[in-house]
Amino acid sequence: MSRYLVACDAGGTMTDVILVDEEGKFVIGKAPTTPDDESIGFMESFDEALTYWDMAGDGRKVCENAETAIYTGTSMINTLINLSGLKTGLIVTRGFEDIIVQGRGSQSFIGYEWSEITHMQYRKHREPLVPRSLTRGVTERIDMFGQPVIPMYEHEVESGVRELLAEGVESIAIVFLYSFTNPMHEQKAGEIARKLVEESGRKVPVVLSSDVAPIQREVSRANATVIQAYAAEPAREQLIRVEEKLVEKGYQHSLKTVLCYGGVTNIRYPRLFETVMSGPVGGIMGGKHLANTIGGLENLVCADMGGTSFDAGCITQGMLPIDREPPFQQMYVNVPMLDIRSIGAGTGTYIRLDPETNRLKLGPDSAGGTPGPVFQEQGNEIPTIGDCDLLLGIINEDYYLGGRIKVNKQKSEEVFKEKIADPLGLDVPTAAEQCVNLVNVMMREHLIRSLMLGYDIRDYTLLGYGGAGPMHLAGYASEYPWKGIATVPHAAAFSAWGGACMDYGHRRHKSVAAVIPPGADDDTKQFAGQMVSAAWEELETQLLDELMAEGFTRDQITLRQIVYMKYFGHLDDLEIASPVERLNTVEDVDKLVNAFVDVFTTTYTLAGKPPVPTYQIEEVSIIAEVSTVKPHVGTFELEGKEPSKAARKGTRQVYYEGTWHEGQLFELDELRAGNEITGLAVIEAPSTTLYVPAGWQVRLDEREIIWLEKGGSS
Amino acid sequence: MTTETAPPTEKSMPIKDLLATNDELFAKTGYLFGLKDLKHKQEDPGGYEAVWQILLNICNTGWDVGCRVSSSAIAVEGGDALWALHLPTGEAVAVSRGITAHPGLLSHFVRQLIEEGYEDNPGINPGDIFENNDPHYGGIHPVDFDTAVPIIYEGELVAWASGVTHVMDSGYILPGSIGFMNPDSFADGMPVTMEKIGENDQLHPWYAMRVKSRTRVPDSVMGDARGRLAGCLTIRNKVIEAIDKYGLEYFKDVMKEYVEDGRRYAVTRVKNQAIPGRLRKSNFKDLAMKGKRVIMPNQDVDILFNLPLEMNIDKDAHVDFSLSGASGWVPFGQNITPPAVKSALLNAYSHMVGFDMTNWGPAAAWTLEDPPEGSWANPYPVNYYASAGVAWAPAVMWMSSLYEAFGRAYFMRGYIEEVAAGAATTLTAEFSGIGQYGTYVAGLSLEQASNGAPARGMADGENSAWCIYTPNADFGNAEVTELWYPIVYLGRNVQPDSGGYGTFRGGLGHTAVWMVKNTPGIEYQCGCAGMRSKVLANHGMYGAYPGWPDRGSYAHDTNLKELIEKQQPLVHERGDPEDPIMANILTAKVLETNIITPFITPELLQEYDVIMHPISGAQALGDPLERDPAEVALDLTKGWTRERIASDVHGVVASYDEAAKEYKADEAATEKKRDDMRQARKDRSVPFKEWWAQEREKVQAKENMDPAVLDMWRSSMELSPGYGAELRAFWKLPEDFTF
Repeated sequence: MSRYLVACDAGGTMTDVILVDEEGKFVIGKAPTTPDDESIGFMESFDEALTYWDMAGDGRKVCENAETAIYTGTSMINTLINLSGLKTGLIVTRGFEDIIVQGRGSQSFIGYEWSEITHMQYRKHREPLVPRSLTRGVTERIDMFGQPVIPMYEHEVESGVRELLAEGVESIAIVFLYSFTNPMHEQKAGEIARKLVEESGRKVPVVLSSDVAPIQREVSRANATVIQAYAAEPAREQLIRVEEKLVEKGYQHSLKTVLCYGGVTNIRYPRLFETVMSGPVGGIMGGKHLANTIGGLENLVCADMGGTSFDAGCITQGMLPIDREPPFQQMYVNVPMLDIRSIGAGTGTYIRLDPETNRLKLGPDSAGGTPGPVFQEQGNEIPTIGDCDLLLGIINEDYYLGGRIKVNKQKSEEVFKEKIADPLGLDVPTAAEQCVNLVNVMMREHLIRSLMLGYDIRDYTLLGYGGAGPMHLAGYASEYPWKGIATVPHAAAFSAWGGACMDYGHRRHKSVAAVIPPGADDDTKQFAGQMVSAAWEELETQLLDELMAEGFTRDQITLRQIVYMKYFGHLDDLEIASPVERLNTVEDVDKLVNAFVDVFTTTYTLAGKPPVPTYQIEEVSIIAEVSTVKPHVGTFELEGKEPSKAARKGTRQVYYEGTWHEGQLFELDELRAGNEITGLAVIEAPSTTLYVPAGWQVRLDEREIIWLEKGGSS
Repeated sequence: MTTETAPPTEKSMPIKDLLATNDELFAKTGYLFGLKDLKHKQEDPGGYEAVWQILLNICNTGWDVGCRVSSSAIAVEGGDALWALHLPTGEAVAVSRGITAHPGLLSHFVRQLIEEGYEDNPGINPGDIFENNDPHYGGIHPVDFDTAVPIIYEGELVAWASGVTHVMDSGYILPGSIGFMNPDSFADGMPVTMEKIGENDQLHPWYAMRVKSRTRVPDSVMGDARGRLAGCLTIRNKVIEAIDKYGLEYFKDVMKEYVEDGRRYAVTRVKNQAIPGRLRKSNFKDLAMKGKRVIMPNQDVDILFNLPLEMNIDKDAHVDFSLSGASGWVPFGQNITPPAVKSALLNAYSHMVGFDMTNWGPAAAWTLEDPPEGSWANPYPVNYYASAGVAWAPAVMWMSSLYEAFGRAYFMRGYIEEVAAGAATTLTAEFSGIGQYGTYVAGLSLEQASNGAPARGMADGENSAWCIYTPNADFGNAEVTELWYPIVYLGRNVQPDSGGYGTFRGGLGHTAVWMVKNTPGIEYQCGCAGMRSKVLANHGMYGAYPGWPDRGSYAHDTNLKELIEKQQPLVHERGDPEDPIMANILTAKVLETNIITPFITPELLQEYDVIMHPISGAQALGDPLERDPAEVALDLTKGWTRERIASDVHGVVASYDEAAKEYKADEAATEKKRDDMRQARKDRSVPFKEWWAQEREKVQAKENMDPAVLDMWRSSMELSPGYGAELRAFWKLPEDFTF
């Protein structure tokens, strides 16, 4: 009997379910997401996936033999968008009652383009998750050294909690300043609150910021704590519903969900807010799994191009960079998240001309998948990049999404001509090619400038995926000397596939205050080392306890030690994987310092290095992982370079570098390991299109990974 | 062998001559560099945009590197930094995100290097590093250090990379970076006057020595220097890569096109959105220092600035600005130079006119008449040693007028969404003394970097969301500020009613409350980087009323420790300004709850002393009696206004609904009350002619005019005779009348 993996990526529009068998073969089902009860969309997508294995109605067979099921959904984000979470009360350090309502100025322009940031009329703070009327201040203060300079007024905690309970709150968040340094006030307040909750006979979770995210920066910590209090339990209910559906079909384990920092956890994981932004994680983790499996890809840039955005992340020597204060839903949140950099660039990206300057403007907004490009005739009358791809002959008008979506090329051409080409004084294909080139440059620059700062591109392989990824990969990969450029046949569903590729893992961060001044003597270095080691020890104990309580044994768990280090006075630090497990000796400390200096000088040029350096560590982290079963990446026998006749679909005129060329057409599903194709060619699949410009060629290796290389000829 | 000399090309022509040629071409053709046609834009619009994206990304990479290397919380958390790419002649082509007040200054700095003949002496070579912070040579104020490195390609100077940061201390006579008290330029700290501060990409050792001996926090100042340099070098290296790729000639040509396109963009925006004509705005700022701690005897004085703005938009959308009527220079660090005024204008343009092409181009879309010689906006012809310690102070108030002027022009054309009712004032907090680590500390908090945003033409302004000098408006986290200074926050809440009163109120500001801790003593400067003392702070537009004035509070030698020990209530917010909480809670040897700002505490503040620092909300718009009563009720529910304000200012009859836990307005009662208030207004009103006659008597008799008022008018009329004549004509005063 075959064993299976079930993974689901429920997005805002569509829910993708991927079923993987033990040979690594997989099928993908798609169904509309059902936000009110996500289990409905999940099961519809699951059932559709079964049909590709001719197992319709035979879901029990898969569920009973499923090793694991992983679900990434939108319930938490929807809860925050729709303000449909628990009625949450907030207890804060007195004087900071507006911490959520006021936030900080920069939250009012999160995600804006610079031209929007300078335009003050666009400023907008989000609707607060907790109104001021449900916030109570408590007199207390811990200072930056962790000293209680104002003792907590316990009577204020009591009255505050009583008032909030009388208001009918369904959860309570407690956030005190500098609680990450010394949580004594928060813990005591939590104790009082829980006692009063118990006396009330109600079930009201009490969430402490020092438990949820013991990290500096009170606004982000408060946001994290409130999200946990507000949205975690409603989201968990959705996840439990999905699990129940699986269990009804015979699934015998607990459902897993995806953490923002890449990794899966049980849906009963207490800090469920750490799953709040797990959407883009799948692709990066899929890339990591590919790299681990096939070797030689330790340095990998993962780039996902869809209809709306271009999301990219960078894996260096197997390490995933983490953003510890990512922006999310107009808030900064203290949640470790894979550092994924996004810009508005996709096939749905709108193309406009600036009315003042007649300059070409792409996005940042987008028609997405719905209404989508003009050719879809779903109501959008603004040309998009997808329209250009069609007008250039790259998209097959008769085979868009496998022919499921009807394409009106004439309309696309008329609208593009009227709104873009004519005002620019260009013919349609020239203007369309310029638009495509421009979006490619934007994506390329995004990769190079925002992701590769300080890294040598020649050491990195670029993996492009997403529904539109293969179509633009050669375009955005060109000009820079990548070590390799690759995509996969299942590029459109790679994120869902990646969801099945993650280890079970937890991660904890803690702020510390370790300093190594210039010319530090051995005692000073050892003191700093002890401080870091003690924090690691504390976090490791917590993580081991958590994982072992979930049924893992100690020897299954691997631990990695991280510091966040900088030169004293700098505000931004760098993530450094410690070369040693503990800083027990002066030599250990020196090794860590050397590792930091190497990374710093690579990243920021020698000019940035202080001549007399003081090193500072303000935060440490532990990553605890348990290896889990993942999709098998199969190896295939290499066939000839020449694709089979079945793969050949004829020719089509494709516009490239100012003239029309006869492009060779191929069916992706019919290509085999070993096949090679020289551009100009278009390789089509129901879910994506791989474009091979003239001067490029593609090669499918023994894993059927598709490599794009320059040097072919048309 | 020929003896003929080839005509000079850009490559062979000295840059100084190129500068003159460019100026001539612009004057002759009306197009920058004589570029009637933007060839690359027309022929290859996609490629044109692609290279623009690359240049923007290069500048932003400079920002990323520079900020992370910099030591300055002001730069990184407050956004007070910027990097740019320039033409060889100085015009900024593309700039990073950051403080939009500086592209003009950086452009001027590079131009000044050329004009001063630096090409010949000391020479401009690969690896050179130039710097200026001297207002006499185009700097704004000496805490803003401008650094520039040449980009030389195959022996030709093809561009410049530049960067600016606001340092924590540059050796002013008093600690910190807001030198409003500097009596003259000799108090303006460490000068770096158009210097070559390094070669071969290395800072000269004597530069660091000078920083060490002449500034109070040298490690931080040097961290910023390294950050500026690292950002510039990053830009330079990336630009050279781009030239390798696109070719030198294309690069040189397209750079110029971007600048000319920026000019056209600004012109077109004005043409499409504004109404031609003459707009004038009178604006006044005071600086009340009489009786306070000052440095020199002549500073024991109250001063009133006249900040007049005249804006003329012609039929071709060219805009002429004038400061005719600006009052005289002041014996404080509040004078500004014409190049800096121009950069301030460029800043306001990037907020109010165009948002997409922030470069030097828009500066060629307008002209600025030389400000009156000897005025606060052009002091050196009369007083070469006037201080520019915080030159932004009058300029930001003047920029606020510009917001309003453009707002009116847009409103008239129907673009009400684009209206901004004027920007909020900028009241700074600085600390100096022995910090919590036992070392000396001096510098600025970030509180002022995020005011309320101004009311829009159709909506309230956002709370804590805008800062006139940088769109990166943010006050950061209290827990980060506490790392820098020996203070413990007791509060940082929204300040009710701080956004004025109007149909649409301004965004609200906040009040920071600090307890001094972990120090043997610190000084607190409640500084002026653009605020008013007795004159109401943010007056509002189209009939709106101003909010409460920014007033300072502090308590020295307090009973706070005792209150803490007894677990008594402490001070966390200002409360009603007419009944400040601090006075009801604390007892202290010195207890000030309503100090006219700015000021420096005369006492060294010690543990358990309390400081309350207001951060202003912004301007409101429209008659407060026309505000939607439901919005007033909502503000009451949120705690953003008070019952007596709702009733007495907005005429709203509202009551708290215990069951619904919210305020509700009684519409009928409100209408009645508003009718009564309107009638009372009518009853108080007099015909304009009558009012004019009454006022004329007072003006002629100089009735009840404070010396500050008389001095202001006198200097305004003397320094701008035309303005004086107009003033006399308006009031029908004798030709020899003076104040």
